Amino acid sequence: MQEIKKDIKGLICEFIPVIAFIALLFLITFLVMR
Amino acid sequence: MNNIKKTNLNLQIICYYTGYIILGTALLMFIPLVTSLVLGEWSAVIDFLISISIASITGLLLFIAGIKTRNNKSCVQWKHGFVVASLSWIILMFLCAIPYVLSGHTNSILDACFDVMSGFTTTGLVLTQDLDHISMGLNMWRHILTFVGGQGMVVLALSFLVKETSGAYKLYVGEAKDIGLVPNVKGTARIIWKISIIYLIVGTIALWIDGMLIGLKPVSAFFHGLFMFASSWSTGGFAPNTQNIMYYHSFSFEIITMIIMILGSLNFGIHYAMWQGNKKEIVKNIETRSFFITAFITSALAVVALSKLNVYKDAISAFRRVVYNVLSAHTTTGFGNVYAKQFAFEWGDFGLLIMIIAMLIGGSACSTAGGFKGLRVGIMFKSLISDVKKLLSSERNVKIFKYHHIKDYILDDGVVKASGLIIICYIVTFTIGTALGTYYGYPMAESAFESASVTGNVGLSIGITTVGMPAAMKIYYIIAMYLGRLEFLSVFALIGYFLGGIKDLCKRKR
Repeated sequence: MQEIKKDIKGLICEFIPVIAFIALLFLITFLVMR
Repeated sequence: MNNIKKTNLNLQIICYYTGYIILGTALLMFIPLVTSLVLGEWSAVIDFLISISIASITGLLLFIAGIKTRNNKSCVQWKHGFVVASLSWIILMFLCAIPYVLSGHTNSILDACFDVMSGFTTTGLVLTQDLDHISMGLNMWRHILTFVGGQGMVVLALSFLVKETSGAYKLYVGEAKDIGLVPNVKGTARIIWKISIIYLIVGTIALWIDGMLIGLKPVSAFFHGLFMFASSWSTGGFAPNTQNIMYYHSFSFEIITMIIMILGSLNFGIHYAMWQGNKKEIVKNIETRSFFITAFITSALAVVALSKLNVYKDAISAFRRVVYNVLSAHTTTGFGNVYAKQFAFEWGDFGLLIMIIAMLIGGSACSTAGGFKGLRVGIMFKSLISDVKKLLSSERNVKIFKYHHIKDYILDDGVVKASGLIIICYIVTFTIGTALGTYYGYPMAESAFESASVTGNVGLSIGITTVGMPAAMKIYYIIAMYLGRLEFLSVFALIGYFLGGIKDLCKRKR
């Protein structure tokens, strides 16, 4: 159980910066295309 | 006499481990076999039974030829690791092509070998005909090849087949995955697989649900989800249909695959560090810094260039068509949501140049991605900065420069030289590919685009890779994909080994 919890935490930790990066790219696209 | 004994021992070691890896691949063929059995694809069942038999016999013969070395593991040297990794990839290319040839969906054995190498190396270029009507079993096989190829055939064999660990590290490094997550190589290989399997479950479920939401039937959505995950995570770029990612016409599907392909292009060392609770690693690591900076710059430049050309009218379509394709190129995935010729006709020379640069830089070392790798780009950039700093500082002041990649390393000349050499090898392979394309009459920019795509194991096409392209180009592209994936050294070791063997034979005859 402890192991699974750790894995889920790891997954979330990896998702956050990647999603933030994609959001940043979307923002740049939006600003350029405005 | 001693020399002959040595040569025999070398050959036996190589046969033993190559046999192991081939037997492992023969076992993998049971997955598409079962898929075809369940779905009642009888023709595909026969194709896979024939393929399994041939692969098993080949693997067993090699295994038996080298069985004497079974209790002599301490003899495994670096050269064996490199030769086994590169040789097994060549033999597997032919064996794994058998189901393609038997299916009748490829025009020739060369085309089938091209597709297998494209899958193994996670390139994603396709010469198989009529993808929309191939059996589910063969589709499963294509995506298994790209998924397993991304993690590494040797890594797979080390994880599940090879019992002993001595000498295993040498095989493991031979496949361009020189990272020790834990001191035990088998443990490292298993961690790589654990991370991939957990992402396989999460990613497939996400794409399955999204597939149903966009109108696919549950069973079809499951297989599409599974296949598209395998392709995104392994940065392969295969899809179960001719239109690739365009088939889904879905922004949400594109976003999910975008997340998976970025995660797939990260170093397994970073995944492991993050999972161990070292959350700052993704920010501190020279490789992720390099990747995110170059991905940001190339995406932003491409958006600016294409907004000037007025190709895409609004932010959503620019994001979906431009940023998606640049990220697909940079992570070396190769999903394309514009038609091949649109790159040539609409993107302009600057747009193509950005794509070529992104494809050549690629993802991370010890990931499923290809290209120079962010680590090497980061090291070269850091070495440039350190050289400038050295020039500007006083002569008495000796400063040691470091870079962070999981832990701190000293930036010495050896590291810079090794990185520079591999980058030069990539550039030479890319240049030869471009020259070959122009020799056969393709425009310079298009030849460069396609050459960058094969060298960086990307898989985006500008329309050159077709069944009708010259055989010499198909062969060169196979070689470029193979070299790019194994990062040259293993292949050079294999060539050196054979040349050495020929030299020995000539000496003996004299």
